[in-house]
This record gives sequence, C-alpha cells and structure tokens, in this order.
Amino acid sequence: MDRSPDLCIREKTTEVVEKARELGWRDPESYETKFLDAEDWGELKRKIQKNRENFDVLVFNGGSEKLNRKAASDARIDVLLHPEKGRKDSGVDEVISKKAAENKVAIGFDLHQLFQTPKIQTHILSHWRKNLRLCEKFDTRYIITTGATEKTDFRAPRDLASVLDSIEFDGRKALNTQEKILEENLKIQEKGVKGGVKRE
Amino acid sequence: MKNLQPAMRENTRYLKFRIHSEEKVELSGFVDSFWDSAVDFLGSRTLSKASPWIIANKFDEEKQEGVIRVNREEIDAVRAALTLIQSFKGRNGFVEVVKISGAVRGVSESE
Repeated sequence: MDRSPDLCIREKTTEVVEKARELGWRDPESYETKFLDAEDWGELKRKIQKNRENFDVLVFNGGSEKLNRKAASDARIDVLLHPEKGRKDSGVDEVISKKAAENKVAIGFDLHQLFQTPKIQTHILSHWRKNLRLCEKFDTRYIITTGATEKTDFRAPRDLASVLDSIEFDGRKALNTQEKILEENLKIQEKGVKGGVKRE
Repeated sequence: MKNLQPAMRENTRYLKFRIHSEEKVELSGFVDSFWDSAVDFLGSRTLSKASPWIIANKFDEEKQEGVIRVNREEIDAVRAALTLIQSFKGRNGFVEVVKISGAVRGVSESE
C-alpha cells in the first residue's frame, strides 16, 4: 500500500517536504492543495470554479455555519477543514454531516487547533468527539492533518492517528481516507472527466 | 518489598521515541515537556492508569532517542500526549514514536 499523504500542508518549503518524506508521508510535491477562504457563498462558488481544475485537492477553511453547510453540499470540495474553528459549537450538525456524506466531502481535523491552552484544547477535543460521532453515524469521511506550516509542525502518520485513537475513534481510517481522496482525484484527472459531466 | 505474582503485575509496553528539534535536547528538557503535555492532555486520572516511566539510562543524547515504559491499555493516550509536544525549553521540536515492544531489549536493539 502507498504511503498516505497529508492533504492539508499549508506551506511546502524544502524543509517541510524533506521532513514529510523522512517521517513516512507521501511526497508532498506529488500533489497540489488549494485552501479556500470566503466571506459568502458567492465568493466561495467563484473560487471553487476557478481552482477545481488546477488543483488536486480543494480544502475549505470552515468556521461559519452557513458556509460549512454550503461547502458540505458541494461535491467539488474535498475537505471541510476545522468546521469548529472560532465557534462555541462543533460546527457540524446532522444536516451538514449527511450532506457531506452524500457529496463525499471529508470533515478535516486539524492538529494545529489542539496547540492551545489546556482549556481551549479541552473544548476543541469535545467538538472533535461530537463531529466524529456524527461522521461515524452517517458514514461521512473524515481526515486528520498536521496543517503544517514549518518542519517542526509535522508528526509521523501513526502518531497523528493516535490522537484520534486516544479519544476512541479510528485514526487509521482517517489516514486511509486521505489516500482515497487523492487517488480518486488523480484518477478523475487522468480520465479527463470535466466538471458538469455526470458519470454513469 | 516482595515482588507481585506475575498475574498481578501490570502489562507494560516499551515505547522508543526520537526527538526532532532545532537543537539537541537534554533528558531534563524532554521530561519537563512530556509531563506538561501529558498532564494537560490526559489529566492525572488517565495518567495514573498509564503510569509512564521514562527510563533515564536508555536516553541517548547523541541520537536523541529514548525509551518510555507505559501500561499496555493506555499506549494510544501516551502516544497522543507525545504527539502534542511542541517545544523543549522554548525551542521548537516534536517527538516521533519509532517502535513499540513488549520487552525493553526489543526497543534497545532496534536500529
């Protein structure tokens, strides 16, 4: 089996790429990720249209309830990252989870969110538990990522998975999903299937 | 003190780790970071079950490798606590778990 990729590396400097290879991740230079930020749905839609064909993976930085739902409803987005960011709730409800499952949008858990004071860390972990329960119930995809910006942000794949294992969910599945998403997207690009064409 | 009967002893695992840091980290630096991270993430309750023990004479400062003994049931929790370490005495760095074994010889002899 191939090494699993970390889909949400924020900055791919030479040092980061080398560290990723050393720790056993798939080569980050073999795929390109685009992070999308938007204030409203119109802006997000434009950005998706502009970037879908140029990048292997599209990641939406979540946080707003309305946009979390919109992102989960759009099959062109691959990952809805940290839906709980800056919120008092977990950012994912039953509706979002179901829509994400239908459209194969993965919920992303960003390790960076945990590097905070113990109080905030506790809240974030509690949101993760809620979101993971929904993901398991509705069979929604989920991934865990380092969200690395520098080489010391990286962690080994198995260590990253252990964070989810420690809260009684399946970390290995979260790693495998990343590989699955990338393989699917690369296959679609190879076949030349364009947006708007429905596959039978 | 008399030793416990084998069936009464806790099942332990030995976890070999490697430190990645900008500068070489001493054992005391690692110990401080580990306990801070473990108490913050796991709390005293889980940590008492995990009963982690950093084996001082297995720490290799040159290779930046060492061994922790931990209860088998809580190995994922301790591994997660190691994952959440971000710095050693103010210097950025992290810990990678290299190998887990049931015997200390298993982790000492591995490359």
